[in-house]
Amino acid sequence: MALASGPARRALVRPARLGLGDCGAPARGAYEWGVRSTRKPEPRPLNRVYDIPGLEPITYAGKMHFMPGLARPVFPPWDPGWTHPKFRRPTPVHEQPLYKDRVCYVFHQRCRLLEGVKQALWLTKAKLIEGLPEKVLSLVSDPKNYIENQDERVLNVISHARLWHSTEDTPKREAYCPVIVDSLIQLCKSQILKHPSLTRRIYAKNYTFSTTWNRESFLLQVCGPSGARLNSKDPLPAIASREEVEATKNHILEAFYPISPTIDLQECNVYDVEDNTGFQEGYPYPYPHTLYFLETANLRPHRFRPDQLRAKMILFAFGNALVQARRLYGNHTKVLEQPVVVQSVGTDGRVFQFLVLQLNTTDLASNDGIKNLVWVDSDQLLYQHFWCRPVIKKKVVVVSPAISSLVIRTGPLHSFPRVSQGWG
Amino acid sequence: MALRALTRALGSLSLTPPAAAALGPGLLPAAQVTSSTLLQLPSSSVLIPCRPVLTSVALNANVVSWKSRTKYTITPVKMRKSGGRNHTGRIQVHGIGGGHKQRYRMIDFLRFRPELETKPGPFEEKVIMVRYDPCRSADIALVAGGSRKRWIVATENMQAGDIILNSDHIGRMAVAAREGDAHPLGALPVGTLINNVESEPGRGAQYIRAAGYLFLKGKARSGYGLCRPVNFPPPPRLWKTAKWLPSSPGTCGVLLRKVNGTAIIQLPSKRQMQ
Repeated sequence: MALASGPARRALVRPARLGLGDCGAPARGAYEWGVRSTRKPEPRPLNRVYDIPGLEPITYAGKMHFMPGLARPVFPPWDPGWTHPKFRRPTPVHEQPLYKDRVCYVFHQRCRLLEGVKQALWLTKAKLIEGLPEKVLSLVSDPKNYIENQDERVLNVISHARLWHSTEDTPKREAYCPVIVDSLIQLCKSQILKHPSLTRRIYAKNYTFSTTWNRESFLLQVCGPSGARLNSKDPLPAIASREEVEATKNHILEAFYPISPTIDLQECNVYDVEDNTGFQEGYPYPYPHTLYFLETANLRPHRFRPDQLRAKMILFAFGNALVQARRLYGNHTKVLEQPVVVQSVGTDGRVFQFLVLQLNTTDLASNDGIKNLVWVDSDQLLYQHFWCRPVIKKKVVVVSPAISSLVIRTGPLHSFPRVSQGWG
Repeated sequence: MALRALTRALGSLSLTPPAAAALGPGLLPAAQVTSSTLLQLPSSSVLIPCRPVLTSVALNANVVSWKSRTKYTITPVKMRKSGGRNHTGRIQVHGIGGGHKQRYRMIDFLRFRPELETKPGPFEEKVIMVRYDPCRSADIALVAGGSRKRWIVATENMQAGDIILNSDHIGRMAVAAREGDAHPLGALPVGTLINNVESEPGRGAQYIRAAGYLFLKGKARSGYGLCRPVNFPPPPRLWKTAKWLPSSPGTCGVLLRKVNGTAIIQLPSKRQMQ
């Protein structure tokens, strides 16, 4: 048995599985990764004397030297009695205090879901609606919500982030992406005089939250340090009416056989089931308002694709909403009378994704019943392109960087400051 | 030759007459030194003492293979080229070396490898993407099934979104094999074009893995067979060549016949194996 390994061993153990009568394992198993010299050597097999139950093997341990007829002694691992802080070994997984037998599938900031939004909707038991809800769009088009000189100010913000604030010729995405988002939020904050309700909101960064839920025999968890979040003193009102919420009962979640819904989630046996909002009990701004996700990696393969970014936004918004619902209404699974609404904005510095999630139910174990609602406005360009270096042809500057070929698209893009303001 | 003369000359500077030695090696120009000592070059029978100089160096044989990764992963792994050198460091095969740097994508050649031991039956997988592989002539496909993703050799018409079946079941009737599916050879009808064949079940594909040059670039042809003994006597109709045999197989294997409990395949090199 020790000689065969991998598929060969499996074939030996269960020849009937292969549907054969007399043919057993192959002479050599399938290729096993790793050169033999780099593989860990197998421990020497124990003397067969140790397999006899009830008998104490006679070893040469007392003689302090090898004796041909006696068994090789097995010593307990040496315990030096103290641990050097530099060479402390981590406790094995099975002995850690939070170890549980049931596997938990954890979603964190670096998880890229294979099926993207479809998988995120299945995990959160949600129904997708393209486009932002009318309540938000009405805020967009409301003239009293306009910022004066909006186009010019946004142009200044983009030029500042992409060109002016750094001494380099072409600032990298890690530099300009957070600057753009912070500047746009500052632009929204400048409307405090017109909308005093904005004073009831505060910006928080680097908070850690975690929440767990069951979804059709899988235990799922969203946890980890998150980016930026806008908290407010008042909750966001529900967007969809009761009828729309009841209508989601008939919606069937998309399945993606043969792929399992837990693909690309991290399997973990050491986890904490307790919910953690990320903020202490007496925090003056308890309700989550908007989450912000930035994709700041310079290289394209390191950044999330738009589909994966939207999936991450859905899952984190859902996690925050679920934690909030459990804090307000208790841990029992039920349909919420007052749905919890959380917004989310994701960007890579140029393309923006907007998301509004309404949590209608915490009964997530089954696939039927009322579903949660997700409105997604995807792939909104803030500007088409930005030339950092002037284009010079025949010693004449054709395109100068300051003006550049910016195209500010109207419409949902203008809702960015207003989505951050929210309504109320 | 000149170097040897120079080293000998430098080494023998102490033996020159005091008149030349008093001037010192730094004051005399180098050409004069060589010319003066060349005139005094003794006959070859007398050994001139000279400092030992190493003009050759032994090969370093600390060649460790780059294949150190034991766990399977779909991310490309950095590899080191051998240049035709073996573990001693000497060239064993000439003509190998150079070329663009490549990263190795770990290909799973054992198609029927269920993800969990607890579910041993045939299973399906979905093709996520088909892409170029610098390490082989065929393209590779990323397939996902259950919670696992792996790379396999792509067949000719494989596209993203296809569902492929991996099976180890041999039934009484031959399976109408679709392109990209994996079946035991006993379950395939005679005349199927196959590739990625393994000689024993569980060994992993070792034959017919390269791309077929006759057809569209870079992909191998249909069907994947596991070569194994057939359990039951095949029904008579299987002894005939299947009518839908497509034209000129190119570099594919063809399932010729099933005799006596074994299947015989013709390899692209016209050799037959069973």
